[in-house]
Amino acid sequence: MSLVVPVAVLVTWQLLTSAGVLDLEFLPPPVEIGRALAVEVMDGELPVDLAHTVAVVLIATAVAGVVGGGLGVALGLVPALRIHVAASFDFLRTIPAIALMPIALLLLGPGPSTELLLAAYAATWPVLVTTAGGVAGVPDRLRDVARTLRLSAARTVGRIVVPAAAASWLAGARVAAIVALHVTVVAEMVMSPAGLGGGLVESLQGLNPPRMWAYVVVCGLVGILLQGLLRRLVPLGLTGRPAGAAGPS
Amino acid sequence: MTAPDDRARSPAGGTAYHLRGVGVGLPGRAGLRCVLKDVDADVAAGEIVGVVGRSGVGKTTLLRVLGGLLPATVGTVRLFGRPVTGPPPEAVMVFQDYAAALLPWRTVARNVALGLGGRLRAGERRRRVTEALELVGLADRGGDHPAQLSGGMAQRVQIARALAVQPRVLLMDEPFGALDALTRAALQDVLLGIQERTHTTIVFVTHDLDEALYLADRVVVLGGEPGTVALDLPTELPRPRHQLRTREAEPYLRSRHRLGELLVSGTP
Ligand SMILES: Nc1ncnc2c1ncn2[C@@H]1O[C@H](COP(=O)(O)OP(=O)(O)O)[C@@H](O)[C@H]1O
Ligand SMILES: [Mg+2]
Repeated sequence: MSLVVPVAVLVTWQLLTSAGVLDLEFLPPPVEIGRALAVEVMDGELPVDLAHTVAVVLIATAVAGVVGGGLGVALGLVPALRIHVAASFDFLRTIPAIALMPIALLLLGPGPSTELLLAAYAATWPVLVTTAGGVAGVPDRLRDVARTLRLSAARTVGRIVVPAAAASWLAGARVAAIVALHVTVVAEMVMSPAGLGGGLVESLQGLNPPRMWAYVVVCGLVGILLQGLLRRLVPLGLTGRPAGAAGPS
Repeated sequence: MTAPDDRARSPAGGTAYHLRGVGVGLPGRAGLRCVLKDVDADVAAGEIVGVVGRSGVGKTTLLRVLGGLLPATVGTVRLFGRPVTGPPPEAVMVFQDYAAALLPWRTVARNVALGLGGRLRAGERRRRVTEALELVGLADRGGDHPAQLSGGMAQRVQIARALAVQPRVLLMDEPFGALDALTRAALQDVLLGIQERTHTTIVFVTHDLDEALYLADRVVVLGGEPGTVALDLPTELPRPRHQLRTREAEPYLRSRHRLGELLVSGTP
């Protein structure tokens, strides 16, 4: 059922463009985009570009997961740290990572590592913020449990705080993957001929709308697949339901 | 859990808790609000003490002080002669809200193992978990997650988790309060059976006078505002207790009357 709208749009689009009703120079009919997509997949650079972008996005997300997760746990655990760095973090966080692109380009030059750095930087924030929130939100009762059982600080973190915050961390990682995709594509458009972003700009400059549209479609598919993958990774009920859900006694 | 002499406890093993002039202030609307004042109490080793009193009088607060989870603002709190400055190694608390006190991502067995630190060998840890689960009658549920348990089972898991560390003192906040009458009676007897074998000192809070009398050697009534000990009543009931006979015994009814008078009318 959810396919009804997109299919209707595609069919209308196809009919309007092939009947000549809609005649924009750079709006090819869907069939032509499909053909371009097939050509690009078969013997174009699309597979290489796709692999490049996906690799950058995955690495950036992984880096963000580790760095954001670690900083988030530290920030959530140590209120003093939170007070001292929260203001600077909030400031940094509000600067769009895309706005930092010219600076990164000047300082580090174009290339995959600059792309990766920007994407990882941007993707770290959502992980950091949600993880810190998850850690700070560990229920007081669980802290009481840790205390009465005299768990060491390390065990309290490892056995209670981190697992309790894991769901928040994963939620942050999902956002991070999409942020990383956005930043990577833009970075590729701005600074390097590689990746999906590079391909998009190339098609634009080569006045090849079907190819450009094919790249747009692939960007969308990557986003959808990435979300699906991460949702699969989040084992439902990771933190489980509380006890007693099965009945009163 | 193991033989009683294993842990060098006997019913006549001296004083467990010793409280003198204990007062607790908690943050309220206008600064510190005095919740408990001038609390004097002693708990002998191996004794079972029930704490009752109207809602909000400070029962949970008192138990948290005993468990070292909350420092007394003034006064002396000693356990086995040593001042309580944090959660003492001898005492473990069983919380009222069992659903919030279990780790939902751990199995029952791993919840029970939570307090068994790195000092124990893996085999010994497993043995303790199995024993504790057997004591509460959940030997076959070790692989379940808390969400698969009923409320009564979840509370038994929390009790097993406390027992697994082989505490000398068990502190329980309205342990059976949320359970239906039959489950509650069954768990009361489970608890008494365990205590008979281990001679664990037990301090528990309840809002149920009958539960206090049935389980305890002594019932402490908190009253007033700020809360303080209004009555300290030995139950003088023989053990083992019996769900019907104990409740029909003459001393039971006399104590029941006394407590009822105090808590309902407010005149001791
Ligand atoms: N963390 C807290 N901070 C401030 N006041 C509290 C806190 N916990 C309990 N109180 C107050 O202390 C009083 C006693 O609470 P409590 O010990 O929970 O009572 P009881 O267990 O007897 O019902 C109540 O008036 C309650 O509002
Ligand atoms: Mg209470």
